[in-house]
Amino acid sequence: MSLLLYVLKRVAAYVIIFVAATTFIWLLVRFAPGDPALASAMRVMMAPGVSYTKEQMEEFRRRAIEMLGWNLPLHEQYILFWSRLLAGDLGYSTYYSAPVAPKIRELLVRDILLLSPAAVISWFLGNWLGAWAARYRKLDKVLLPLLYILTSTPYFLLGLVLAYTLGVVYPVFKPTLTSSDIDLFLTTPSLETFKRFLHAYTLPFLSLVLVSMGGWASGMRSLMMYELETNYARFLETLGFSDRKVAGYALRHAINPQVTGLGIQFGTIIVGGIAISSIFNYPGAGIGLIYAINFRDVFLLQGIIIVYIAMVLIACFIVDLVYVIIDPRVRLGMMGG
Amino acid sequence: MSARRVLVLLRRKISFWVSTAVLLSVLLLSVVGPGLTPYKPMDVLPVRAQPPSPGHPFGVDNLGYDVFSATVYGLRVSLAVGLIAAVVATFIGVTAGVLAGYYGGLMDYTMDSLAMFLLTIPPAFILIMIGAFYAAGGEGGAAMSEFERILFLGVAVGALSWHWTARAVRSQVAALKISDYVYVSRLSGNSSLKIIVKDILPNIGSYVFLVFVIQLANALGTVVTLEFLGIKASDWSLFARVVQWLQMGALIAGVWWAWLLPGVIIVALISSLYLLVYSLEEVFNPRLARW
Amino acid sequence: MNKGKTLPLAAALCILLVALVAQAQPVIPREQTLIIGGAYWEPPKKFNPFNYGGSVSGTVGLIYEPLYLWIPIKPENERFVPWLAADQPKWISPTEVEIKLRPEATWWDGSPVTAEDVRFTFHDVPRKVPSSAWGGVRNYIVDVVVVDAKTVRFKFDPNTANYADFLFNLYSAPILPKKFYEPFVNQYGDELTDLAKWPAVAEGKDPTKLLGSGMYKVIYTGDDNFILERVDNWWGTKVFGTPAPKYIKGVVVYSNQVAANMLGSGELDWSCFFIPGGPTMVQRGYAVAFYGKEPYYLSANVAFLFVNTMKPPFNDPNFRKAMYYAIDVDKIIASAFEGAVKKSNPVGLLPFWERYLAKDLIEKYGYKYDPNKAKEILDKAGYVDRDGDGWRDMPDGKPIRIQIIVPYGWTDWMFAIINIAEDLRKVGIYAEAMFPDFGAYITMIDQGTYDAAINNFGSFATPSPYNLYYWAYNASPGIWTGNHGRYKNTRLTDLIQQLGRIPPLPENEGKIQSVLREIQSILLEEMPALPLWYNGYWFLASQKYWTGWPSEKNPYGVPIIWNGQWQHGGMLVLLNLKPTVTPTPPAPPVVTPAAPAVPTELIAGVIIAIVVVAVLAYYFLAKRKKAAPAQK
Repeated sequence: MSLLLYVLKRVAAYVIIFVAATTFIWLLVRFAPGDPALASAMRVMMAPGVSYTKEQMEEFRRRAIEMLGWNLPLHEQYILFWSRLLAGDLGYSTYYSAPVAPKIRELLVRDILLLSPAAVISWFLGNWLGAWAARYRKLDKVLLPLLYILTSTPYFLLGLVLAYTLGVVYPVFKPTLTSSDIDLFLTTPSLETFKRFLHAYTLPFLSLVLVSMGGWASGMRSLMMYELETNYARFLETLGFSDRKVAGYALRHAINPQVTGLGIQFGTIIVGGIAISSIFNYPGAGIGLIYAINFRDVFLLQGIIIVYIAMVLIACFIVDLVYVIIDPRVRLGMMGG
Repeated sequence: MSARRVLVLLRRKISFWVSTAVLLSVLLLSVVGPGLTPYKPMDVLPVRAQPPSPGHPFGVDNLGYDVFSATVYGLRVSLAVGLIAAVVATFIGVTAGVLAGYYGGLMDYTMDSLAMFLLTIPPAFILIMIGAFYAAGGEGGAAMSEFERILFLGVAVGALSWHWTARAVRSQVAALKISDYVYVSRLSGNSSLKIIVKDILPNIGSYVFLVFVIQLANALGTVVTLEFLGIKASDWSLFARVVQWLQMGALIAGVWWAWLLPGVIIVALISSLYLLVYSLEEVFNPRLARW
Repeated sequence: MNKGKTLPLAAALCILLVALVAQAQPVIPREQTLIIGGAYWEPPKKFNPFNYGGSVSGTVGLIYEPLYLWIPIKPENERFVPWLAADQPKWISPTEVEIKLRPEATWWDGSPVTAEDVRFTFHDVPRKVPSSAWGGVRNYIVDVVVVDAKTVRFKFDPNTANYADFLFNLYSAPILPKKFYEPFVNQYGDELTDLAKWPAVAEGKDPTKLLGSGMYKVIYTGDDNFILERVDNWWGTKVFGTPAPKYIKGVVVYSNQVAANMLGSGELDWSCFFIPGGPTMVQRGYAVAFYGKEPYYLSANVAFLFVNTMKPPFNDPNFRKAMYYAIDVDKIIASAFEGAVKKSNPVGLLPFWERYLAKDLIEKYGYKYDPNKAKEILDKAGYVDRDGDGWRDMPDGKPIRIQIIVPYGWTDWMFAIINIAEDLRKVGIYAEAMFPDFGAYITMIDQGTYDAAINNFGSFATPSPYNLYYWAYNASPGIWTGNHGRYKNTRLTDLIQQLGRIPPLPENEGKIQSVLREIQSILLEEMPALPLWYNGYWFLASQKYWTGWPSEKNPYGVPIIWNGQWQHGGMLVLLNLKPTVTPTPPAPPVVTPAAPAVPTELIAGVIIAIVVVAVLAYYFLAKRKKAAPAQK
C-alpha cells in the first residue's frame, strides 16, 4: 500500500470521527432540557440594584433565540450549523460579547503558553524518573508509589493549597496568573519580566507538573517493559510455552499505542489545564469552559469542545504521519496489514 | 494462570497488601462510617471550627458541619458513581470485546470504529456537555432525585470509557480463539455461546478483574474533575464537598482539618487503586515477574 | 518509542499551528493603581449608560456622574450630597423643584455641564429611549425647564408624580452630554439599550472614546480586567480634590477563594466579594472591614424568604406567620455567615430607616424565634397530621411538601435554607432545601412555579422605603421586577403607591410616617413575605498599597463598588485614599502596541528551538536506554 493511500485512509477516518463527534455534541445541545436561550440572555443581565421590565426581558429572550437560530426546523439548523462551521463561524458568545472563533483562538494560545512548558518538563522529568525506576528496582519500589500518590491528588486541591500557602501566607509567589505575566515576558524579554514571569508562573506550573509526572513516569516504565517484553516473549517461545501464553503478550501489540498514548495525554493535560486555569484565575479555555457552563453560553461551550476535539484529531493525524515516515518498522506494521 | 498461583505470587508482594488494606479501609469507611457518627452531613452544630477530637474525629468546620460525617456520606456518593461507571464500562467493554474477538468481521469493525472514536475524543469533554445541560440541574422544575443522578452520571461516565477494555479483551479473545484449546472444544460440537462461556471467559477472568480496577481508578479521576466543574451527582458528594470547603474559606480560617482529612481520604482511595493495579499487573503478566 | 515521543512533538506542532498574537496591556506602576474586584462577573466590555445595569460597574459614578450622591450611613439631613448639583434641590411647589448645577462642572473636553444636558437626560432620553434605566420618569416628569445655563426646574404631573422614584434617580441617573449623545439617540432610539449591539455608545463602539464628566476614563479593556485612568482636567479637583490613585484596575475573578488569595497577598486592594472567612482575614490582619469586629459589614439589603402566595398553604397568613416563628435566624447568622450580618426586623426596614420603624406595633406582635408558638398557630389553623405520616397536612387532608430554593453555588444562602428547612421540619412541616442552578432558579421564580425562595435583588437602601416595598409587593411579578410572592392586597398596594406620591417636603414627614405605620401593621398582620436578615456590603480592603478606607471611626461613605452603588460612597473613597507607600517618581507608562509580526517570529523561533532540543535529547536518551539492556 502506498504512503498516499495510507494517508488518505487516515484522513478519512479522522474526518468521520470528527463529524460523528461534532454531530453528537450538537445533538446534545439541541435536546438539552430547559431553555438555554433565555438562560444565556438572563445570566448576563443580572446585577444587584437594577431591575428590568417584563417587555425588556421578552425582548432579550427573543433576540437570544434569533441568534441561536432555534426558530428554524431541526434539519435546517443542522445544515446551518455545518455551513457556519466550515466558514469558520462558531457563533457568538453571550459571555464574552464577541464572536466565538477569534476568542477561542486567543484562549487556545494562552492555554498552549500555559501548558506546553509544564507538559514538556513533566514529560522529561517523568521519563527520566521512569527510566531510573526501571533500572533500579529499589528506587522503583519507593518512587512509583510516591508518584501514584501525587497523581491521585486532584489538581485543584494541590493548586489551592499551594496558592494559599506559598502565595498568601508565605508570599514567595503570586497566587494568580494573568495573561500579561506571560505575554510581557514573550514580547519584551528581560530579567525584570522573566522574574515577574517566574513569580507568577511557578505555582501553577508546580501544580501541573507534580500531578502529571506520575502518568509519564509509569508510561516510561511500561516503555521499558516493551523492550524487555519482546526479548522475553521470544525467550518464552524458545522454551516452548503454549500459544495461549504467548497470545497474552501479543495483546499489548494489538492496541494502537500511539493513539492511546496521545489521546490520554492530551485529555489529561487539557483537563489539568482547566483546573489550574480556574484556581489561578488564568484566562485560558479552562476557565472559559467554566464560564460557558455557568452562563449557559451555548456557542462558547460548543465551540471550545469542538475546537479541542479537532485539535486532538489533528495532532493524532500528524503524529501518525510522522511516525509512518520516520520509522520503517511502523510503516510496515501500519500499512502492511 | 490458575487462581492458586496468582494468590501465591500475590502473597509475597508488599505493594499488594498495602494497597488492598488501604482500599478496603476506605470502602469500609464509606459503608460503615455513616453508622458510626450520630451527625448527618447537613446538621449544623452549635460549635464551630473545632479541631479533631474524640466527639468529632475529623473536627467541625467553620460553618458548624461535622467533617467526618460529611466525608463518609460523601464518600458513598462518589464511590457509588465510580463503581457504577466501572461496572458499566467493564460490562460493555468485555461484552464488546468478546463479541468482536470471537466473531470478528463486521462486529469487530464496528467495535473498532466506536473504540477509535472514544479513544480520540477525551470523554471528559462529552461529559461536560452532558453534565452542563442535563445533570447540573435541569431548568424549570426540580432536577432528578439524588439516586437518579448518581445512576445517570455513573452510567454516562462508564458508557464513555469502555473502549480500552474492549480492545484489550478483543485481542485476548482473538488469540484464544485460534488456540488449540478452543479448537478442540469446537470439534466436540459445542455451540459458540458455550465456548465463549466455558472456555474463553474463565481465561480472561483475571484480566477482567485487573481491568475493572483500572476503570474504577479512571472513573474516580473523571468524577473528581467533573465535580470540580460543578457537575456532580449530589451536593453532598465528597469531591464536590472538598471543593466547597476550600471555597468556603477553610484555608483562610485555618480550618485545615476540613480539607486536609477528606483530601487525604481521596488521595488514599485513588492511589491505592493505582498501586493495586501495579501489583496485580506484575503478577498477571509473568513477563514482569523478574521485578 | 511511541508514548515517549508523541507528546513533545505534539506540543510543538500545536504551538506552531497557532499564530501567536500576544495581547499588549499598558504597563502601569502598582503603587499608583487601585485594584478593585467583586462587581465584575463577565468580560468588562460594556460601558453603556443607557443600560448601566448590564454594563461595567463604575460607568455611572466614575465615567458619568449623577446630580447627587446618597450616603445612607450619614444622618438623615446629610445624606444627599450635591455632586454635579450645586446644592440641595429647592422645592418650589409639590410639583416643581429647582436644581442648580455647579459652575465648575465641565465635560472632559472642557465644555460646561449645562441645564441643557440635564434636560436631555431627564426629558429627551426617557422619551426616545424608553427602555433606558431611568426611562420610567417620563410617566411623571412632564417637563424639564431650562431656566438658565446652570439651573433647571423639573415639573411633575400631580396625578402620577412618583417622588420616591425621582429621588432614586437624582443619584442614579447619569447626566449625559447632549451634544455627544443626541445624534445617537435620534438615530437609534430604543436600540441603544441593547448591549449586544451597543456595548459602548460612541464612535466605533469604543469605550475609550466616550465623553464623560467623571474622575476616570477607560483606557483598556481585556477579557478579565479593565483599566481606567484618572482624568487630569476633572472639574471636581477644584471642589473635592484629586483622587489619589492614578489608575483603577477592575478584575474579573472566577471564585471567591481566588479573590481571597488575591486580597491576602495584596494583589487586590478593594474587594466586594463575599469572602467566607472574611472575618478571619480581618482578625489576622490580612484585610480591613468597615467594622473591626462583628458584624464587620454594613447592611446592604434585606434577604426575604418569599413564599408563593398563589399556592396553598402559603395563601394563609397564619401559615406564613407560623413559619416566621419557626425559623431561627440567629443560628443562620452564626453558622452560614459567621456572625457577619444582622437580623432583620419583621417588617424588613433597613437600619437606615430606623426612624420609620413602628416599634410599638412590632413589640405588640412579638415576633421572635419560638417553635412552640409556631406549632400552636399551626394546630389552631388546622394544619395537623391527618394521615399519620408524622408531617402536618392541609385542612383538606392534602400533604404539605415544601421546596425552598436558592441558586446553586451561593453557599451562604445554601446553608441558610438548609437550616430553614430543618427548622420547619422541627415543627412538623415537611420542607426540603434545593439548589437548582442559577438559570433554573430565576425561571422558577419568574414563572411562579416555586414554593419558597430567598431573594434580595431589589431590596437595597434608597431614600424612601417605597422602592423596597414596591419591589416586594407591588411590582408586576417577574424575576427582575419583583413581587415574587405574587401577594395581592389592594390596601397594601394603595398604601405603597401613596407612599411614592408624597412629596419629600419636611411638612409631609408626618404623612410619610403614618402611611408607613399602616403599611407595617398590614405586614405584621399578614406577613406576606418573611424578611430574615440583612445581606451585607461585603467590603474588605488590603492596606498594603492604600489606606484611608471608611470605617466605624470614620464613616464618610459606604465603600462599595457594586453597580449603581458607587454613589453611596464609593466615589468618596477614591477622594480619601492615600498611598501607603510613597511612590517613587513614576516612570511614564509603557504602552506596547499589539505588533503581531515581531512576537510571532520570535516566539516561533524559541518554540522550534525547544522542540529541536527536546527531540534530540530524547533520541539521545533512547539510544542510551537501548544500549543498557543490551549490555545486560
